[in-house]
Amino acid sequence: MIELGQIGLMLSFVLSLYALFVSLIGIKNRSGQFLVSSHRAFDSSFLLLSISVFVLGQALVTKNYELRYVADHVSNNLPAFYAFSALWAGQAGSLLFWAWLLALFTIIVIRQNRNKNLELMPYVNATLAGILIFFLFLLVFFTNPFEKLGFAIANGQGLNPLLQNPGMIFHPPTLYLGYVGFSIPFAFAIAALITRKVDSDWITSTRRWTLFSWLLLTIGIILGAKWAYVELGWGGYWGWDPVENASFMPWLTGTAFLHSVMIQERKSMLKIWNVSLIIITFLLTILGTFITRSGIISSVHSFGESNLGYIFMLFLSTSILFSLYLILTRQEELRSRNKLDSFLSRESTFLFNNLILIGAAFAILWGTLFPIISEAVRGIKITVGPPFFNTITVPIGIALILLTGVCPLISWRKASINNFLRNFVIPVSVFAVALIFLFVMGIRSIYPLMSFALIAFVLTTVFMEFYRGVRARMHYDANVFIAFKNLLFKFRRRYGGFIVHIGIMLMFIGITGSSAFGTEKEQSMKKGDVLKIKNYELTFMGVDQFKTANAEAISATIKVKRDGEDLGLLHPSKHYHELQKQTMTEVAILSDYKEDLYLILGSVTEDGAAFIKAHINPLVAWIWWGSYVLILGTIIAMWPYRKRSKESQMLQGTEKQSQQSLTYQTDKETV
Amino acid sequence: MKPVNFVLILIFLLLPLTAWSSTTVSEVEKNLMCTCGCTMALYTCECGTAAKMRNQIQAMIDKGMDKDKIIATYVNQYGERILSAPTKSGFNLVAWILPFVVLIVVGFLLYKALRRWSINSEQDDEEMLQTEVEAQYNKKLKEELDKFEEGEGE
Repeated sequence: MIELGQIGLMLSFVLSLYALFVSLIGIKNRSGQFLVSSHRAFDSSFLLLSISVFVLGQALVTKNYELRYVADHVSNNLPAFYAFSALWAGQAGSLLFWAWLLALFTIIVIRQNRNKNLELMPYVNATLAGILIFFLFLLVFFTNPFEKLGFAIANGQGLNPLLQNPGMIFHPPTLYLGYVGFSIPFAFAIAALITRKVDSDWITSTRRWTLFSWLLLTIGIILGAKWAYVELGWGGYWGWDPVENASFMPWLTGTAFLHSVMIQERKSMLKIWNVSLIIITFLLTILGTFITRSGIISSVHSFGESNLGYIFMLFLSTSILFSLYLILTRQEELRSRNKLDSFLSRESTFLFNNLILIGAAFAILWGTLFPIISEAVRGIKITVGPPFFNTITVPIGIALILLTGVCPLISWRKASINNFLRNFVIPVSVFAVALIFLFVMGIRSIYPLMSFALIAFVLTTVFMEFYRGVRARMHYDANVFIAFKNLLFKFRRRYGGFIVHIGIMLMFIGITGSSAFGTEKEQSMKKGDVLKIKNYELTFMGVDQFKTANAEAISATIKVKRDGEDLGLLHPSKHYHELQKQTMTEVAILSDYKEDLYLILGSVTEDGAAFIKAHINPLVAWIWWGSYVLILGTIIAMWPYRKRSKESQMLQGTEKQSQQSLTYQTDKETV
Repeated sequence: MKPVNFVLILIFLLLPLTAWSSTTVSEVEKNLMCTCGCTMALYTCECGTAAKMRNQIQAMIDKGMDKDKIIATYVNQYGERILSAPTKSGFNLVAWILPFVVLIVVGFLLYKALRRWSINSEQDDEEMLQTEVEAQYNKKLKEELDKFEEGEGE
């Protein structure tokens, strides 16, 4: 059975090489037969990789220690679902999973484009084959998941206890889905550059792929934050670890891309910028893997450091040089023939929004790489940790909130001063009222004050957009609810986008509240002792010891009262994993819309006394709620329109007209 | 109330409320990394080494040492890498300043580029308008001249 996995992997590698080879011959000879042959090779490669993934998954679940990867990542007492999740816990398994996803996405893209993008597709195939070959090359020659241990063992080393959390079952795969997904728009961008067809076609063809990748990357990042919050036990959700940063950077550039493509679609401008943005986004996904795997930058995520980093570096450098060559030799085609109608236009604000997003990505990249730069220049190793990133990114984040609010207030193409001022009256008034209200409520620090007031500003602009849209639709629809529904579902991209903005603002409420107003208190407690923090009274009831499936646990019982009202019992605990000789903190959280009570059990003495640390983290729940809204908005924005019959095409035409009339009306209303 | 006084009061109110208390473990640990090799900032780490470091810090505070002295003690022992952020001096200043310099410079260039693009297009509009006006004028002139010539011919 194990041999089947190994054979599958090797044959898949050979078939990917074949797919690249015949794609190139097909391009050279302009022969469809070769391309069809490459499609079959991709299908077979995917099938074989599926077998390899299945074999490794089964070996992990059945604890087949014949394989080194299984012996290194699971143990007898590890529950089956965690054993399966070990597929992406180590280097070889995660790269196999990555390659399998890429093969899957490739065959989907080929099927989607059977009768479309005929000029681009051979190059898309070749690019995707090139990326797949790279990952399979690593798996076959450097980090083979089917390597045998060579001797018999009774028990494996087990899974890193940090990874034994339900969130970890989903966090890495969703991140990988996002990372791998960006290969598709990247491949189309490369194909567009090679064929010199750099108009908006490659963008419209990959719009859903980009949104899908962005959504999955977003979910992956949020799951990672949630995991850090409940598993790392320090009271926060984002530690600016290099690997966290590595996932955040492509998210920022991907977000910039999602905005700037609108200008190319509308005005056929920014071609060079959009191509560069998607190339950078793809390269940043590879950089993330390089950072994780090379160990060049110390990270809490460096579970499997190896010399693979330098091969990633080689791949990264080759991709950069090739992309640069293409961009430099296609400047004429990439040059914009159009100009902006006015400086005061939504196009301009989108570009400033891009500047802020790319500036944030640069600042994070700079901070992540600065330890290497410092060592190279001064010969001194330094650390760039949370205080640096918080200082640098907070003002940038506030500027981003401001622009999120400003963009929808300015019309496309050209905004008159009157229009501009009239649109701003209500949101700016709300901003001013919020600012005064927050000040009176006792908020004095400038950042939270500005952040909350600007969030109020942004939410007002978004609600105004919905209000105007519904009012305009009332000319066609019977009542407000139907008007709202039609507005949302007929103009999904626009209003889905606004819902995403609402989600992001809710998340910013949580981020601002928890970072600016958190309090903490720690106390050594004996049975019956009370710890008072804000309006909470925490009574220590004692500790219990018990065994879990794979750890010894010690758990404290704390009775919680808020303003005298009994809220029940919480059980912060510590789990000792004998196999890995590691103690894990399992926090207890009581959450509501206002704040989280977050309890950590510290040391426990023989007489049953315990050291308890309590955090009050305001508004954290808003981060998770905001993420649900964001997910909903993205799904609405990317939801496909039904395949059009002739009749519906006519309707679509009418709809387009009505959209134009709606845009005109909404613009007119704001003038 | 005079406007100046009002502004002064406003500035005073806007100043962050600084606690005039002595050093706390929490203040110090935000500036340090855990030394166990986990690569986490001390305040984010819950391992045994982190607990020992916190005890050490508490002991130093009890001895009357302030935040800067405690941090300096750790830097002497472990080097600069114990700090959770680069110092704001010497070459490290580049780390702090460069992101903002890049943002400001690129922002300025973007502003100039947008101005140029939009001004050019406005100029183009004007040129187009002028050409249209001229064409209309020439057409009218030609018609008048033709009429005149026809009249003369009669």
